[in-house]
Amino acid sequence: MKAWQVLRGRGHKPEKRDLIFGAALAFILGLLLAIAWLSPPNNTDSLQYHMSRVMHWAQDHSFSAYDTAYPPQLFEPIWAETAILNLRLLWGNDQLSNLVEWGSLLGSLVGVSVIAKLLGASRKGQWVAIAFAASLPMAILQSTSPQNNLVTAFWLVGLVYFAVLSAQRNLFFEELLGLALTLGLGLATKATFYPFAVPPLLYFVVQQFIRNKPYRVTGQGLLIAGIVLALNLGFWVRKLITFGGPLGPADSVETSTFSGLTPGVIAGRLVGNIFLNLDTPKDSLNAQITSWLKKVFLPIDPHIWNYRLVSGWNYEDVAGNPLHLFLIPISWLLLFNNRKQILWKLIVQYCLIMISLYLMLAIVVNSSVSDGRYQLPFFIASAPVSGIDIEALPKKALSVTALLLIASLPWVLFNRTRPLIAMRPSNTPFTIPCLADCTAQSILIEPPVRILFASVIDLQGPYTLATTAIRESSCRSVGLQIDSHDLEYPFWWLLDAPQSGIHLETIYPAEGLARYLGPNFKPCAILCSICREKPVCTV
Amino acid sequence: MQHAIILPLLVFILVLPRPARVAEPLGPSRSLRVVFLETSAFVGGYLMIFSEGLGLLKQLGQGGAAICWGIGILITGPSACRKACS
Repeated sequence: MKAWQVLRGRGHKPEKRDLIFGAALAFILGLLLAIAWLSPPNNTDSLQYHMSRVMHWAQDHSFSAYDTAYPPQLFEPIWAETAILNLRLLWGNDQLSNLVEWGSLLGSLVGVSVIAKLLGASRKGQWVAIAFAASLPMAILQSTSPQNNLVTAFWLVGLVYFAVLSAQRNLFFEELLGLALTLGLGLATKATFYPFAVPPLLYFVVQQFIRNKPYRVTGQGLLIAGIVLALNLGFWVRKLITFGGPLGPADSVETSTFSGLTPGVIAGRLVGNIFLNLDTPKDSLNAQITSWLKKVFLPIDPHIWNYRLVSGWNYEDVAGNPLHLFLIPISWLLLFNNRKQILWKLIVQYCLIMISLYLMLAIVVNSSVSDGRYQLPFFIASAPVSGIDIEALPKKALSVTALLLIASLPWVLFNRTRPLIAMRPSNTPFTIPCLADCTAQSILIEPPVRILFASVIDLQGPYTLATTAIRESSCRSVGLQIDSHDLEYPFWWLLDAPQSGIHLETIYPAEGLARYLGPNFKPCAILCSICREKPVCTV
Repeated sequence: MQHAIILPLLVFILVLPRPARVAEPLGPSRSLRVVFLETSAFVGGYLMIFSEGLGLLKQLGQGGAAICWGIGILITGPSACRKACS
């Protein structure tokens, strides 16, 4: 493998600290990989739509619109779930579903280290950047679930890398392709990528106009637009046909984006986003913070009336990144001290891109209580600057790297719904007392079905009872009569559909989607969650 | 059946060891990590394009996916072999 040797030969010989930090990082990533491997998908959003849409596609052998009670299954971008679908098709079941996010964490770490290098960081600084990104609580918690915020972060890191590289020299053709692909794939992954893409893309365009003649920039623009279109056209057209717009239903887009946007609303959203990272374990304290925010911002931002802080340091829907929230501005302040030692101009430009990312999120996205996760791409993309600045602290960089990696362990070990070590008032193995909130039982001893329902344990009984009745019958056509916020995926998982031959279709679709009901579909059983208080099976 | 998972891995591995063009400012260290980023984007784009194509033909099943990843190996394999042997 000469090419491989060439690649390897270009790197520096690893030093002792590279080996130590590399081993520590491999240990953390290894633990996360084990969690991702052992746990069935159990994140609420995933049970509601990330995984449910994968099941429908696998059953239909296409991305065509289908009848569903929960329209986001049809209008949310699809790349992460398409990757999950490919893994499940080739593997035969859903065991690899969590690996797309885990792989994206790995890719993001590679990306931030390269950006740090590009901004002038030494290997020490690159390690700090990696440790910063790898110790983000939200990144750790999400890396073992089939969500898509880490995938979004990965494509954003790629886009930012190519944009910043373009400030230093013209991109090679394959790099231009890389920029276009990361842009297109980001847009195909999550709607929050749309605002995130604006600052790095504008930066790239400005650099191109400074460096090149307009006709060359136009050519590059056409190439990028063509690739973005090729990657997203099918999805946009399907949404256009189903919902009348390329972004989804107009009312949904409006309420979750620009509805009633004023400078006051932007300020309210900005402060609200910051405080989503500062939730405390005490509900009373969270209520006090919320009350103060409402008192201050309600006159200028009416939307803040719905604002809530929910405690959940180890739960991927609401966990914040408090330590990193403070590290970012501190490291930016350190810039001023070290401006003569670093690529000052480039780093300031990079910081401006980061500030714009956070602003764009506040301007475009109307975040709610569980939307702190939308900020994850910003935090990961901010890692390189923190690496450079902390590196400049005399003799502190290595300690900070070690501390960050050690600090990540509670989130690795004590995930609320997928813990390696449980925190519970019991004497079962791999269990300690509830030191900081209780968790589900350890995934090392818990059967998969219990892990599946870890966040909604009350539902395990009714779901199991209803699906067992179907599995024991000869019925193979099952109708789903569920509400928009019910968890659909557990029905697929418990019935081992579609590979078991059981065909599931929603027979109670959301408004406007009834036209996708299969005319020939005649269910011999109905799984109903809205007929009584708990899911039941009607045969 | 689970052996088919090797196909996308092979495509990734075959695209990966193409020697990246070296240029300032990144210099020598551009190589593996940058190629990893580029390869992820290329493979991610390929996955999206062929999945959409298969979906359009209602062939988005195990067979369709395996054939498309196999085509990916046929496309990247010879080039990777040439570069590895040169």
